[in-house]
Amino acid sequence: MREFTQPEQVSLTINNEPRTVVAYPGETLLYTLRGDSLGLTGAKPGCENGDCGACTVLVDGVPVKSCLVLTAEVEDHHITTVEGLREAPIQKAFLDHMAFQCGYCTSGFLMLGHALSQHVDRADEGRRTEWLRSNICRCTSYQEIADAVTETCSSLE
Amino acid sequence: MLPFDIEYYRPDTIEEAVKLYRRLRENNQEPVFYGGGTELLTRARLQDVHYDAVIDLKNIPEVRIHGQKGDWLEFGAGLRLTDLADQNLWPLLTATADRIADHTTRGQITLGGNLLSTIPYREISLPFLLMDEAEALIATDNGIERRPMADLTSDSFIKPGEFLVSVRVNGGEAKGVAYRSHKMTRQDWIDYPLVTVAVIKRPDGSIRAAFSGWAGFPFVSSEVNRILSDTSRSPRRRAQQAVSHMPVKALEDLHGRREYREFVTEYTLAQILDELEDD
Repeated sequence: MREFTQPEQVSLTINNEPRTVVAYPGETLLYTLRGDSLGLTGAKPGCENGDCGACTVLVDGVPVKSCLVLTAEVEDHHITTVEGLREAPIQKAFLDHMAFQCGYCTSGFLMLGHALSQHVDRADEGRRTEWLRSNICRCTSYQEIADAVTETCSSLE
Repeated sequence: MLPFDIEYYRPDTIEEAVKLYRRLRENNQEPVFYGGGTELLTRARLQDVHYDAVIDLKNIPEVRIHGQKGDWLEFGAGLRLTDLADQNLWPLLTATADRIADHTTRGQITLGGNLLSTIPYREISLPFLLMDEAEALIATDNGIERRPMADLTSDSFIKPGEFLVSVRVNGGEAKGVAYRSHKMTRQDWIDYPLVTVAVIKRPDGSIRAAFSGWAGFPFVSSEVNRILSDTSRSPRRRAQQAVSHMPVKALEDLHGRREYREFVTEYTLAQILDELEDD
């Protein structure tokens, strides 16, 4: 049994690099990622209530809202943040379609779109719509975001 | 970050989890069993709940079972709602699960977490409430106990120190019915329901319906089922009668007034009955 009763070291693989961070038992993954130790501020704190999706990262390739996950839960798992995309097709598509305005929600949408493009066999229009409903864009760039995700999924088919 | 300190435990067995809960309580701590965490973390941030320790159940193999064993379809309490949809072992369960929250959050919400939520909707319970043979396996101090899912909303269904391990239904019964599951929201697709209605048509033609959002708990009603099964009346008439014979009054809250809930429920039921006539 894993017991985690005070701040201690947690091993994570972040953007394909093994990392060790000190985390509190009640610390969320969002807080750990953005902290001084890792400094990965691409995941954005928005509502911190699981509603907006601005903090979306991938855990073992699956999108999760990092405000709703304890760091202790994802010990020894693979985390991908927007910093780890490294010129993924979804990023170019967002630029081509100008799929952002203020940009605060962008990293969350990028992670969602990237994960979806990795499941391209299931990424029909209904699936894309369903996934994209998970995130909120306050500037309402929804059409451009959907176009960018559609293009990325189509180009990978 | 939670607004208070907690301890985190991840036991590997059911026995470890039960004993740990007891030990923490003996130390005057307030432990909680932890599945996906969506409710416990959001409520903690709102300072709506306080606990000293979380016992994360996801590492316990029995909590992750998912498949058919003999006549039973078995669903571990730690399965994510997206796991249910991906495997699609029971299409009615998939149809209901797929309308809870949003896709990303469904990848974090667990079956057990939704069934035992303190939020009133608990929509994933509706398919189970419609079955004759549906039971919960609950970890207790005395080992695993089986309790009927029909008792889900009773106080004695699960007691402090116990946790839900899995739920199972008779596969023949579960798959031998025509079904519909409709969630109606006031405005947005992603929202809590005005009402969620799951309806089955059994091989003998009888109809059963389960409701979430109408009241502060999910429910079925034998009187409503009797009315819905009376094919001497039109679907619309049956829906009207059913709504006027609900066992409790409809909620009146931010999502909608009582009259609006009644209207939406009647409309939804009539539509479903119409569709099921053709099945």
